[in-house]
Amino acid sequence: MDLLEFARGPAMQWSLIILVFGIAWRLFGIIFLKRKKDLAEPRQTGVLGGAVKTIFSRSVPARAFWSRVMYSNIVGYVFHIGLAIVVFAFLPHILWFESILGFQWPALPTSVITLVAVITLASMVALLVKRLTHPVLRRISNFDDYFSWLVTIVPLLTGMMAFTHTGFGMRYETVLAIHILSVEFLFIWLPFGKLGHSFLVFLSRGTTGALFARRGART
Amino acid sequence: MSGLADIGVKIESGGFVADDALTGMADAVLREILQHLSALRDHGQTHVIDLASLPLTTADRRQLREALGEGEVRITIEASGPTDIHETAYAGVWWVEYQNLLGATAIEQVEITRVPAMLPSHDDDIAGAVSRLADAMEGKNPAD
Amino acid sequence: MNDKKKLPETLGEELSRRGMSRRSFLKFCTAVASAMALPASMAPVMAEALARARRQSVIWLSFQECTGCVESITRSYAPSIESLIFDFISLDYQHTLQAAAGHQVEEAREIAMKENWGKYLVVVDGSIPLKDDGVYSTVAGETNLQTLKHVAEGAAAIITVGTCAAFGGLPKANPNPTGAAAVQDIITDKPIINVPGCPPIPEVMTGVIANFLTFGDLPPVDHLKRPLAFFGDSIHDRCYRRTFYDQGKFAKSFDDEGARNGWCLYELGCKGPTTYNACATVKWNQGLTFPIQSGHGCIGCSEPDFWDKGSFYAPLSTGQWGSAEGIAAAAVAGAAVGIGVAAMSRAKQKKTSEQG
Repeated sequence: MDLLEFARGPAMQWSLIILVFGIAWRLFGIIFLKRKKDLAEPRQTGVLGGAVKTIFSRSVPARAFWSRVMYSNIVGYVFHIGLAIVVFAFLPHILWFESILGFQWPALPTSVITLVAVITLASMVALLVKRLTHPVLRRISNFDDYFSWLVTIVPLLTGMMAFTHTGFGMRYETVLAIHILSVEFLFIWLPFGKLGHSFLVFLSRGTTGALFARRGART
Repeated sequence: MSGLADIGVKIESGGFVADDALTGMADAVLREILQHLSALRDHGQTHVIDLASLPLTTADRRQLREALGEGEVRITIEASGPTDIHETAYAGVWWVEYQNLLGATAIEQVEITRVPAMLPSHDDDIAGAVSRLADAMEGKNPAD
Repeated sequence: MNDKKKLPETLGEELSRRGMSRRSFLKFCTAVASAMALPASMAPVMAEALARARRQSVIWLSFQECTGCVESITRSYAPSIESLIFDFISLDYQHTLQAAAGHQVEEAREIAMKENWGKYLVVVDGSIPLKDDGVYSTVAGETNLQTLKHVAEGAAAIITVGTCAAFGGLPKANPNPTGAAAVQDIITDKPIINVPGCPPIPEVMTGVIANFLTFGDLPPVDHLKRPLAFFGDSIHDRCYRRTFYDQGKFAKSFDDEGARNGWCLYELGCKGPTTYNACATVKWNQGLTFPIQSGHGCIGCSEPDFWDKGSFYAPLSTGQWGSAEGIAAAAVAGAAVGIGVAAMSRAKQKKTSEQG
């Protein structure tokens, strides 16, 4: 079995098993946690609206903070949207999803994907620079932040290397295998580190929203 | 079954776009030819360019062939299939086209030389010819 | 075959006796040089070297194979003079092509080996069964394993033709009932060059043999011992449909508009990006076409274990593992662990609050 076969075979299967296992574990673990009883009298009873509203309202920073967070927010958006386009609109990726989900969707032209991938890569570098140079951000960053950044950028980088057939001396099969393995590592890491926000973000926002609504705070 | 007319026929524009585009490779080859032609003039150095080894599209090849044009000499050699040679409009630059027995072009080369390598009679062949001619004059059958 | 009455003369003498001119000779060498990506100016030098060479004794061993490789090599054309490869070599043993049969041919092989000890070239097609002492394939009472070891001993070099001899091929496909192995798994002390393919391109086989004849040596190879001149680029690298891959234009089925317009066959399972061979450049059937040009994706037949690398029609980016049962089980197990952990935490909280 060569590296590519390993990546496409057992490594892919096991990384997906760990991904699904980890997500289920964390989701159910959090959902069934005991919550302290809020003894205060609720300001309002319908908290669902507040939960939903917060999910959206928190997507835009409060006006008062604009000058301070606009950079991170815009670059962050560029990165997240870019990554989503590269992951979900590139045909080879769609074919991979199809092999698991059983259906496909239209792909974007490869030239667009390439452009988006370059922008995404640049935005990731910009975010890292910000994290390293901003005094407060640097102090509140831990290993998880840097490691999660690395785990995310490597698949992007190796994917571009595979697509453009630039192996720096490595054969295409090797580059492709490394790309697939790096994605599989992302799968394994995703449920357990800060990348878990990918499936927890709206859950936690909704919880906060519901809490705020109950207390009558702005949602 | 009904007739052939029921089978839908779709007329498509022929050829693949990818192979019909000019890439500018022909100009690069021309520059290479000029360099080797100067070397032939100055030092008598010969050179062969195998067109199959270059990423030329069909259109590039046509462009190169037209750019070089045709000169005074045109030769066909019959040895295991025909080989067509012509001197281009530029003396010392020869276009050599090896064909297989089926008439398909197997190899195309641009030879920068006074006489293409395929042309001169080889010493061994001449030696063989001497004995064959002598035998023929004595009325012998060379096959014996 | 077996015209060993006279002492060997040089190829030049022998061929001129047969009425083959030195121009034909030169043309042959030009074709070989072109095919092997050697400088074109090498051809006259090669012709001179070859003219002075002796006829090369070649022993061709066929093991667990389907004879497709022999079928293929007999159709070598480029240039047509390539058929003359059989004038350049003395094919002293070849099951399919030899006129003689029975004990005589086995004897002829022994004689050829003795006369050319250390100098003959061995060509192998087919894999060698190792299981149960190799009883699954025998010729004249000798197992393939015995024959290979015996014949390889006096060989100057070994050329394997076909994926079976090079990597085990179809006989080695899972579950490999005969314990099929490649030549390079058995013979380790001789120069080996692999010319895989199912079958290999005829011009590639003859090109490698011609290269050995003219230089007395095997050409440069890649990590799988395949000649770089033919296996240096992937099918995808040299595919005329590559432009469409780059543009993201893919045929969705074998007969749709895209397929007719020559769009990329990636989605239909083409293995071109991970397959190294000369199909896209040398092509098949006298340079007429190759599978992708005929509308079918590459199946990767010149790569080891191509038979066991998932469906020929599954896109390269998809996984190669069986069912999603493991994933479903993982979801259930994960949920169970999550709920269990939450329950434990609740119990602990309860205990703490009761104590406090």
